[in-house]
Amino acid sequence: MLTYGFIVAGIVLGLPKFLAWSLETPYPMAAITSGSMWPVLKEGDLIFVQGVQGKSDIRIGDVIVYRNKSNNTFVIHRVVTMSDGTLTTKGDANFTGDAPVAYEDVVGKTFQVLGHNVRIPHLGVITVYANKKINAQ
Amino acid sequence: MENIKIIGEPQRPRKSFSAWLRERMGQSVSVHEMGMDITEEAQKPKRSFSAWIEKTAGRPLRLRDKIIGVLLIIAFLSAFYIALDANKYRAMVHVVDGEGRVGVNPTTEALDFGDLSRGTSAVRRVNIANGTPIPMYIIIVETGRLADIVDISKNYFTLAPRAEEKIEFITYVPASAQVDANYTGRMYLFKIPTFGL
Repeated sequence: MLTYGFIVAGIVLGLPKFLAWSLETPYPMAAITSGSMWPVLKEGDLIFVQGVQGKSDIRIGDVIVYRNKSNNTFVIHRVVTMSDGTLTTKGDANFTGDAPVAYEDVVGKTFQVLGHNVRIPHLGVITVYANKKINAQ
Repeated sequence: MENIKIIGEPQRPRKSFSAWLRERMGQSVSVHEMGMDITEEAQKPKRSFSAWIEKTAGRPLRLRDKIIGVLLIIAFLSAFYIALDANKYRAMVHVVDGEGRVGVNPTTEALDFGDLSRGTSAVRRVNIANGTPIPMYIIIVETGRLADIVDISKNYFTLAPRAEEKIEFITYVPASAQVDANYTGRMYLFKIPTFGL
């Protein structure tokens, strides 16, 4: 029984570190808390984030995660335009684009396998619930 | 010196009447034997549910097992009742081309949001009345493609006895919705008696 406990604890504690190492980002997992990327990413999905080194790793059409400095949150939207110093994004379900984002604020892009975003439906619901509770207060 | 002579073959002890009856009938018998009332239990294997459980478990059922069994049965029946008693609504929206187009198509049987173009929204209301003297915990579960674009104004709450509540189902058609697509789903409204807990 104790062995199983150690195995579970090892997985729970070690998996994020392993993912951070293998995906080359300090934020390897993220929960989708809104429907702005519907239907590609749905509220409650858990996604994996692949780290990027800079502009060379990003292309128009990629779904990227960046830090929104104005309210210190993370945003996951699709790249629509790229220029020398900044890029602009837009949520698939939104009608308007976002403000320009500096490349150094980009945390990573969605981890893909065979051209599809890897997502685990409903596994991020706890984060979504907590987020809503915090925002409600 | 031999002082006794056995005559004839050795005799097998005679079966008692009760043993004979047991063999013949295979069931519980009560006989009057040697002036005493003797009741003997049936030897025939039981064919009841509890016997099957005992055989499966490899031991007789304890009181604790029986209590757990009864509680499980009650829980199953309660879940069955709640699932049967749930209100089920079909929900649908048809996405049309253009801007600001809202084609009203209301029915009382379903949560039909009608024809909507991208960027528009529609609201449907459901009135819940608790006519019982027991508080009810309300849970609404959405399924289907439409569930992603429908918001519920109130969910996971307790409805007081003899009270009413209006719940709004709001759909918003996002920019990424496909034109001419039908988004459908189902809404299940569960009412769970809380008994004041």
